[in-house]
Amino acid sequence: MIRALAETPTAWRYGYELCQQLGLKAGAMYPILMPLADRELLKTAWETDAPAGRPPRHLYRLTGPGWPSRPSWPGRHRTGLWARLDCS
Amino acid sequence: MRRAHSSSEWSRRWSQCSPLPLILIATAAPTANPGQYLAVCGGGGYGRDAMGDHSPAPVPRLVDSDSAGLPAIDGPALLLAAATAALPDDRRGWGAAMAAELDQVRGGSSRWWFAAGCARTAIFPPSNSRTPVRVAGAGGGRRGSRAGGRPRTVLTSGLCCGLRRSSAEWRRSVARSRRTPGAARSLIIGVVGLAGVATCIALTALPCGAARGG
Repeated sequence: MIRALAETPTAWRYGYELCQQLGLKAGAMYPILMPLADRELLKTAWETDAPAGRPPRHLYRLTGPGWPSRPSWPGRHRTGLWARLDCS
Repeated sequence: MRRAHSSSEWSRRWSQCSPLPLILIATAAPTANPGQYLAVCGGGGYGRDAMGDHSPAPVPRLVDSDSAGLPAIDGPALLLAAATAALPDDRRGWGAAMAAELDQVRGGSSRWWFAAGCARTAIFPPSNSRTPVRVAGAGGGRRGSRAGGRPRTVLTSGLCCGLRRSSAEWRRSVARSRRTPGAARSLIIGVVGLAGVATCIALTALPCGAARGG
């Protein structure tokens, strides 16, 4: 899930889209998304340009402090999301 | 004698006084088209949710879908509405998010699978690591009855709460039973299961009886 979100860290993703990309069932995806949002590792927003007659969807992306430090930093300098993941 | 309320009156009452996302499993007088009274209607009054943003997504509420000109919801949406009605306050935005995603899912079986997965998450949500978890969510059923909810709606909400409570009790009993050998283990599990069912019945039947008596 984290990797899928980190592929395009600035893009907002839909829940069902993530389900299909990762081959996850909804019953597996939301229990992952919820704790990530609780820990503020995941930023959430509501779709603002939903067409009439369709409910606005919920959007997800990694939080700013979480994703950028992954590529080449040494482990002890990693911050945010990756540092927490490395520790866990 | 108590006056029978029309569905639109129930809708008005609920939309005014209940912050709980209300679900309608059935009407008092079954109709040929059950979806007539079942629709997704926006403006549930969630306010700011635990996700830190305002939820504009619709929540299931009692409306007369014919007069309101809204589409009736299908089985998967109804299942999801029933499950998310008992979500704790800090998780309600997720119920709206699931409903909005379900709206995008096409195909009967896909919709059922998606709704079933969401319902499982709604009934057994992961504990919130940021805010204290409200124990068992029993307030959902009580709040529904205080808001003048119909017995069947209260029953459904209470059943979801009771199911969650039973699950928590069962997990606790399993943890205890690891330290308790033999027949005592099954006895404890049985007693806890019965207590969960009794709690569920008490949460739903007593408020309904009190409402009828009043």
